[in-house]
Amino acid sequence: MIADINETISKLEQNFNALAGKWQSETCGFSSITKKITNLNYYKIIAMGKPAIPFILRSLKNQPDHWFVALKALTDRDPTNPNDSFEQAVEAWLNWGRSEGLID
Amino acid sequence: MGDSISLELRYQSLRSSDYSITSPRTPNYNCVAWAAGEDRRPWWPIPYDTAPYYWPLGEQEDESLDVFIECFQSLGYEVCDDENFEPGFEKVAIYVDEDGMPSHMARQLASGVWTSKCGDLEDISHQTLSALEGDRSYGYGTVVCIMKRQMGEI
Repeated sequence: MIADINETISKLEQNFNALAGKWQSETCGFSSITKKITNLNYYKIIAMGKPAIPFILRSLKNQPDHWFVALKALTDRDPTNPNDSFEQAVEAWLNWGRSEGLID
Repeated sequence: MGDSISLELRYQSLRSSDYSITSPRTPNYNCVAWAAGEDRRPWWPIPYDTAPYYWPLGEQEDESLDVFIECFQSLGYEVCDDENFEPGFEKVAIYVDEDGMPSHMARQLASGVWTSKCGDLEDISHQTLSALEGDRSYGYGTVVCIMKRQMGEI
């Protein structure tokens, strides 16, 4: 039972990593935030639902990127302040993730 | 070397252009922020408040060329005739893609050379605006608007 759950989580994470890699490759040259967050791979990650949240937070921690809209959509929260810099917004989400026990 | 190859694969006009990489890759800011002289957060007109995304004129329902012109007018810029360097003036350039939508901005330095932040990739300095022009797969489209303001104006 636990082995099955771990296998499922592992497959989800592999799926997330594959989609995240494609998203980053396809959108890293864009300045348009709209183009970044309407990329099909980004949509697919949001469609993974709440199980994707820890994966997104770990990715945000290891390689900060434009995950803010996805996190806001999946969590229905926003721990950032309106005038936050990119780095401050990353830190706000990581602190939220730690407070929720979703990341170390 | 590797960074140059990566950039030249994405923006093919760079291959025959005089340019240099002037920063490491970072998602912290984008071309519009850089054109406005900021490097702490990306600037883009989106219809909802989500930090760290910023637009001087607040939430926007569209991201047309007019919206970008209005934004830089609020920073003291006015549309001008050409990209030629004029002592005492700062200039920015707006590129649009094949759909006529803004895709990139560049800023002219006091030396007359242009500086661009390429998405989440590196900053580069480039002699000509055409260095980043090209169709959807290989560039940012076409420069359609140049704006200028007097130096020292906020």
